[in-house]
Amino acid sequence: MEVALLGNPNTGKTSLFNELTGSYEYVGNWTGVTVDKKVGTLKKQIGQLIDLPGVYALNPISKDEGIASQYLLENRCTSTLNIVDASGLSRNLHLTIQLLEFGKPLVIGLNMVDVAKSRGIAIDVHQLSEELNVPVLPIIARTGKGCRDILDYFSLENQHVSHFSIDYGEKIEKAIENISDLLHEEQLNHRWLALQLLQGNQIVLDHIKTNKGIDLERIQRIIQELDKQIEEVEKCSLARAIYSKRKQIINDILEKVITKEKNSDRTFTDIIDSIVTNKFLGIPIFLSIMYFIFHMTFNWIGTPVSDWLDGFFSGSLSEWIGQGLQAVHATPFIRALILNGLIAGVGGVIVFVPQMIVLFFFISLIEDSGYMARVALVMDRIMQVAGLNGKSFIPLVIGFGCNIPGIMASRSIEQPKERLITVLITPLMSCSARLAVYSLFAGAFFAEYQALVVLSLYVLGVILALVMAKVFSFFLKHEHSVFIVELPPYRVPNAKTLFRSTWDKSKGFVKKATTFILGGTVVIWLLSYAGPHGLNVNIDQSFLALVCGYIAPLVAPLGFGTWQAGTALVSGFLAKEAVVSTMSIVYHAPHSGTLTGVISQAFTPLQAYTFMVFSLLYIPCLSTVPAIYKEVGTRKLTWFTVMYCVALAYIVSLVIYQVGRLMGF
Amino acid sequence: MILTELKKGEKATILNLSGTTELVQQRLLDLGITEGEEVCYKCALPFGGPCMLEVCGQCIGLRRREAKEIQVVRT
Amino acid sequence: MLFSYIFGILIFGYAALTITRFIKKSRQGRCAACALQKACEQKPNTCSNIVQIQKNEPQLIRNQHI
Repeated sequence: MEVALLGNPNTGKTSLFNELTGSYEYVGNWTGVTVDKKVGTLKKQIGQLIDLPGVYALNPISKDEGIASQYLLENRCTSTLNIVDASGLSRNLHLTIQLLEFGKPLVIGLNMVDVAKSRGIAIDVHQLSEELNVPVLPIIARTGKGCRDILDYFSLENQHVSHFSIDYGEKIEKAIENISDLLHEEQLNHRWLALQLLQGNQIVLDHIKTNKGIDLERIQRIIQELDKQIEEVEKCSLARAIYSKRKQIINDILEKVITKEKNSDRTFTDIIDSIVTNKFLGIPIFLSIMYFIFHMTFNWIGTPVSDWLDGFFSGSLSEWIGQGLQAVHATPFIRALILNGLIAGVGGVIVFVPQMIVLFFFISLIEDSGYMARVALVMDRIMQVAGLNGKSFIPLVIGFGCNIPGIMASRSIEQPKERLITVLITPLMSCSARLAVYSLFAGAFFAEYQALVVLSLYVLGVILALVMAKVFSFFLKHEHSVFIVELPPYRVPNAKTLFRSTWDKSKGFVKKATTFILGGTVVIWLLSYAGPHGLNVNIDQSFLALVCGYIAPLVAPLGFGTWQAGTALVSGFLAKEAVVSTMSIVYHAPHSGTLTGVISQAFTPLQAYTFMVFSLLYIPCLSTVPAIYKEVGTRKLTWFTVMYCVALAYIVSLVIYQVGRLMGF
Repeated sequence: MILTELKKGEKATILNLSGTTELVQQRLLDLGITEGEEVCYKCALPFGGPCMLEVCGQCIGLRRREAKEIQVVRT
Repeated sequence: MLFSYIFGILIFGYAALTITRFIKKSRQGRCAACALQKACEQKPNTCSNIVQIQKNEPQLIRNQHI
């Protein structure tokens, strides 16, 4: 059995998916969290559940919506589960009607009944079920209440196929009949296909085109004729006429099932909104929140814990392992590999876990609270100047965690041009891996102003992204820019969700450090240990120093023309954390104390800042490149993205360093 | 009158949406915003930024340029 | 001495393994640290490559294409 999970955006599909499959997928409180199809096994092994991006209707506008319609057209699901937001029934039922027309067994999960109740909306579930002729199960997906009933329902053998049908009026019905006759080769429900074609669903049309046995021309003629007739009589488009008919039916149903109490209190959401979307305070509040997050991450919680960890790794732990290795008579090669390679390199990255945990916690908090959509609203005016819209800011914020989901999140942007530009600029966002680089340098050079320095790098990334967006938009065809965003009510973030989300992201960071960063570290260490004159050479005579010595003059104008910095930047292409692990190895001298101490000797504060700026911009990491390729679709554009980042990093760093020097830093 | 002429917190009924582009219209319909619905103009952001509306119990953000194409009548 | 050999082989073997795995995974455009790692990767119109998510199975690096 394969069950498709469909519903309007931000109605809790993924929350329900997690409950029903026992998996943990990314959830958040804004439109467009899920941009891809996900498969899970239903509890009790009764079948598979497919989580799809949220859609308002089956006629898609944005790319993520297209994924859902495309899935239905593949005709693989045996049953559909429609999740409906009880507090917005009238809008949600448009999708429900289209799913009923689709003709597969359907069950409705009526979600957020608690939210509806608090707004004074009471729903007669039994009546609704009768009106639509399908089972309706009330649930609260966030807490898991009622989800058991859904599982029990799917365990049943016979599933109910609804016989719900709307009479669209004589003219439309006639056209549906005529089109259906021409579709006899199709496996999918003919009436549904005909209706979608009448509504102008491009994905359905493309699907029909692939079936050679269908007389497409005749179908299009029928549609055109009907369109003209409707235009004359009802003075609106055909799609609109179908919409209106559905709306009328929905209103009739709602009259019977909903009882509304007058409730005109100012809600919790209204009060917060009057502050965070305030005319003058909107943007300052956003920046203050970001500053507060960095202050917590660096000055208050993260750095003290991470300093302690650093002391432990370079002190006691190294000592214990050293003694242990002595006891088993390990060769000097192995001793050096473990102590100077693994512990220095991997340990150098692991010490930043405390900062990551704090930062990830706050990112999850923003995602789950509902503030994300407000950020899009507040930033729209600024984004408009750059030729984008406020929705493009959401991928950028997600990019602060990791660029890859950020790039994928751009799918929810309606306009192709804006979507493309958003993909191109997302690599400039300062992801959590880069945070390890900042933590190292800011800790060594700007101890007191860490939060401010790091915030400046984030803001610099965003500003440069907007400048580049403006530049790119000159080269692309002009399109009418659109910005419509749904602002969901605020929610007190769910503790379980927060914990899981923070835990998952932090675990990912540790996993990355202990797998391929460890692998990379071993390679780097070997290259620094071996040289043309054999093993255990002076590090300045190693292969690493000789090869990367060629890079040094290239970056010398930027202020860090040493082979050590060059090496770190090369390995940073693998992953930005590798910059830190490489530095730990190349600057690791026995008994020289912590890495911070050595680094503060090797760089001046200006050089350190320039190095951070360069690391922020210079290249998307190895895993991001294919993600870019997947969204932009051509190799040429992917290469372009990589190259413009390198060029931009070079120019910006050069300016900062040279201007800084002139100013006497 | 047009939507943006409303004062903050004022309510009105939508008369005509057809001035907006096809794409905007489709999105507005998706969100349940049609002729005859009651809309509350909640606030607008500075420098011609987007405005916030409440329709059918939900909040949406919309550019002022698009909002100017929506005709309403005060209720 | 024997100990050193074992350690050396283990460490270099593990390093080689992780690097090859990482490069393989990177080709698909996924980030080891991101929450979407379990999600399926899909280009429009190629829906046969759905990644199976099994419950209670954290190790989902390898995709099982159906």
